[in-house]
Amino acid sequence: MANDTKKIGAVALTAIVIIAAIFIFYDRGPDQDLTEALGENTEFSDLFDALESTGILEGLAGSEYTILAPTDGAFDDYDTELYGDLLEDTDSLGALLNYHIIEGKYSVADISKMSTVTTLQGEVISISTTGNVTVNDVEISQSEEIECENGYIIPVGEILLPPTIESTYIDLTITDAAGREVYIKKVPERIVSIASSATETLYAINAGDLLVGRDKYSVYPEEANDLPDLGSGSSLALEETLNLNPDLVITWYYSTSAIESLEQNGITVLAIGPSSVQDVLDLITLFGQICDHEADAQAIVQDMQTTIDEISSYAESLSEDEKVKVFYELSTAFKSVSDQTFTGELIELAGGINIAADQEATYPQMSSEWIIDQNPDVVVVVSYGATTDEIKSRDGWDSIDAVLNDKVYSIESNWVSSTPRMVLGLEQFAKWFYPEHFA
Amino acid sequence: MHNIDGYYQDIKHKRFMLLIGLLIILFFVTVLGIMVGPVFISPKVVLKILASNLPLIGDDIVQTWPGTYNSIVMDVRLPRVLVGLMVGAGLSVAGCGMQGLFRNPMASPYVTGISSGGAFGAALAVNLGIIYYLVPAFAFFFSAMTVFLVYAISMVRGKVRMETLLLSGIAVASFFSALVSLMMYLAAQKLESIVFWMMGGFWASGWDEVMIILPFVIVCIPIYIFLSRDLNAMMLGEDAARDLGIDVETTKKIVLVLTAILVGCCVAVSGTIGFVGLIIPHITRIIVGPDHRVLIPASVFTGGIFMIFTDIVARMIIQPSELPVGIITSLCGVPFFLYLLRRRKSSMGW
Amino acid sequence: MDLNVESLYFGYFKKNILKDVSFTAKSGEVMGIVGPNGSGKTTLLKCIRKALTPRQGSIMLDGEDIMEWDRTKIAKYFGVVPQNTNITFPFTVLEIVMMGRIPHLKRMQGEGEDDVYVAKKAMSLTAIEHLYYRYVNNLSGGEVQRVIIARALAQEPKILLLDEPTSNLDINHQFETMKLIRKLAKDEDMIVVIISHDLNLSMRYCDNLILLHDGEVFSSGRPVDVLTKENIRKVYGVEAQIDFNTAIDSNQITLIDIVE
Repeated sequence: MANDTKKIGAVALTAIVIIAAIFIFYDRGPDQDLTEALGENTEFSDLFDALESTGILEGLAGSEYTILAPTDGAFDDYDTELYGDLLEDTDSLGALLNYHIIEGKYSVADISKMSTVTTLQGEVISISTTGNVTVNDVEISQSEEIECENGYIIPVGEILLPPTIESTYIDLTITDAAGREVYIKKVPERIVSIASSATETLYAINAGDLLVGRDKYSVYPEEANDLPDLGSGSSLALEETLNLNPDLVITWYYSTSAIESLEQNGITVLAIGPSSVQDVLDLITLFGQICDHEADAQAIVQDMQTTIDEISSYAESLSEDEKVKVFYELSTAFKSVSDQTFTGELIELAGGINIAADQEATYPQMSSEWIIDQNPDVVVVVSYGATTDEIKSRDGWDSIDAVLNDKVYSIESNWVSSTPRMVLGLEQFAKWFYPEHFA
Repeated sequence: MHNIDGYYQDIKHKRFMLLIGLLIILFFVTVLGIMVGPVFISPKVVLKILASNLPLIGDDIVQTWPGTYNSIVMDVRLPRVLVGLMVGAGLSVAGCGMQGLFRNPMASPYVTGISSGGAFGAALAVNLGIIYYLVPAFAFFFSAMTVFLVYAISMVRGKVRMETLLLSGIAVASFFSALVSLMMYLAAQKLESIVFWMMGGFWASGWDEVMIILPFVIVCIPIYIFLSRDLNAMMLGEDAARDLGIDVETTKKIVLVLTAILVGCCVAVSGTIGFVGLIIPHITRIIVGPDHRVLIPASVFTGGIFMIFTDIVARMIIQPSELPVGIITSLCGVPFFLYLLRRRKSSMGW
Repeated sequence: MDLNVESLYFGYFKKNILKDVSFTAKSGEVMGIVGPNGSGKTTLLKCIRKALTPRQGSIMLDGEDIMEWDRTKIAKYFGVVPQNTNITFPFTVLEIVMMGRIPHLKRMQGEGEDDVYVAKKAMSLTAIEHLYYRYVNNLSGGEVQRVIIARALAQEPKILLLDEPTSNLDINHQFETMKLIRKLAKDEDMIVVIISHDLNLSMRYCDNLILLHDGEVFSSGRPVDVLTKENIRKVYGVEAQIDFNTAIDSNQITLIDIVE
């Protein structure tokens, strides 16, 4: 009789031990709520705190969600220099966290069958399965997923950034036209432009709505005139400028006093100074990059490049004899431009021979008789210089071909300066120089 | 015995010969000015071109040169040289007048603020977009205005004290200089044109400019000669001149008006060219003496010679490009000015 | 020929600088005008030649009222030697002297032989002939003085006015100038009026004196009668002693001290 009791006791004890072991060591399985699982798992302590501080945590309980959970290591690796402000602000943090939460209960296997998935934040995560399964190029693995009663916790080694946010953080370092190193972290939202070319370019790439202030020479396009006038690079209304709270100010490279004062007040300044046709195209591209209007910029640049190519290829096809001789005059009589100037480059591109091209001075003052002797085929004067009538009536100029054939023209000064309208100037030159070809 | 009569005749004769000599040099420099330019035209051709435009023998000369040469010689170089001559003469004679009036060897025709006034007039016209052929009129008007303003400020009980005139001239000149700076600040793109006025040059001088300045030069300079004796007497001091029977106040008025008109014209046509009105009277005095009856005609010649010559340098030195002639005259002028200061106590002594 | 000044008044606004001045200067005589600074001496000299216009009174030269005369006519009669002359341009002595001929020549008329002759004579009278070609700026004070006198003489004036001609000169030049002035009066029969503050020279070389005090004629007449101890005390406020000195055949004034 005693032997039987011992046997039953031993079996019962063993059974208890086994059952206890099973309870202790066996994965509880999908019995926990997401919030509990998160709370208990030491790997996600940062995530847990963040979810709690933003109030998202409560919303998770009891409803079905899949959480792409950044580990504490992911939080450590996070580029706080660049994106630090996102974590500090409750709203942006909340949005960031919501980008990691998907409505519904999906395992890694489920996810691997999708190409994109929409998050709570509203933006989309892209999924790829070449090789391992990745979400926004970050690996997820089945072995690491944690199943809960109301969802899955899938660890990710990096914090995921929503595309729109990512694209506003451009993290760009540029060496500007004044030789300064300029760091632009985010796409600017409040731009002040005290360089007319920049103003024009911004409107051209549809980024005009980012402007909050301009200089007195920024009068093109029309809409620019609605912006507050802040003076000019050489005499800036500093207080008013600072009052507008710009996150970027664009100036000419030679506006040294403005650059200095703005820098002293901690404003980010970008100095521009395009001096060639290519410079203007590059500037458009750069602005497209800075303002997140890359597609607009590219469209414009391509358009301009087509025109430029069309004209310059015709120019190149001409022999030296076939090219027309051009005299270009500035606002002072007989003052011209050398090939070191923007206008000089345009003349050359359009296939003209600038008779003053080789002169030493950038804006050489020529003598009237020399011009007569050179006998240019075309004379072009800038719009704020002499009138074409005055030029045609000059003493001794009646023997010049350009005057005889009535090829004396006046050109709008903005069409031959380093702005996007330079293409208009180039086209005009082409039409004047070679009217039969460019009707 | 002292041969005073002989000496006197000698001097008269010598001075007359010097005048002739200067006239001859002027003639040659003028021809040189027409012959020289960035476009090389041989002297023979130049002479032929000139001859072919003379009334009687002109038709006899066969044209063997390109048509552009004709334009260059007759429409570019000839008027330019003529304007240079007249401006040089005008500024020099005006300088003599000013030095006489102020009894000060450092006086120049710009001492009453004319150049600043004229520059302002031009700058204002340029900024307002006034049509090109009226810009000189603006310059002239303001030059003249400046002189009258300065004169009015210095007039006390019907008399003008020269020291007051000098000081008010400086004040008014500063005032207009400030206005010119303002014009330049507001000018933006037209800035270059304004700078031209302040540096002075003949590169845009054509027949229009000749016609503008010719009547004034022809009228004003003989009046100066007419006043030679009065100016001579004023060298002794205003009171002494009065005691010799000279109407000092009227002389001052006339000289100031003439200066305003003559210099106003020069500034209107070719901007402010410095140092000519200051140096040439001195150089001329060294050659022919201080008697205004000889000094003024001689200054016409020496002024013309100097101006044409410096203009040749201005347009040849970096040809085919040009330098403003004011730079050349200043480069000549500054060392000369310093030389003048150093020589103050010498035998020529002032 | 006489210069007659009657009841001359001159002033600016309310102030009278000269009050009721009357005197007669005769040709062949040296008339001296003495008095303290500010007594109106230079003003009087300017009025006499119509360089300033008097308020009241008449100035008659040889019976004619000079107020009616034009500038040029006055210049033909009055030769003026001012106190200081500063010529800053390189004129020769001859040129300066020849300027004295201006009143006699028409505007564009050149100088003739007779003009040169007059200039030569003027230069010989003032003993500067040997300087004819020299530049005025290089001469000594005394020489310049004589050039100016020569210029005044070249005007062929009937009356010579000199304002303190000896004040900047060396002692020897002072003598020369005063002797020259007397000679001009006597030999050329000129009326000479000279302002001086040197009482002894005035005593010695003037025929007549006017002592001015606050714009009025305090005393006039012969120098011995005008420059008395009392007059000097009253006008100058200085105690003086006057002795006759045989060496100069004239009174000598010794100034002792200011009056307490």
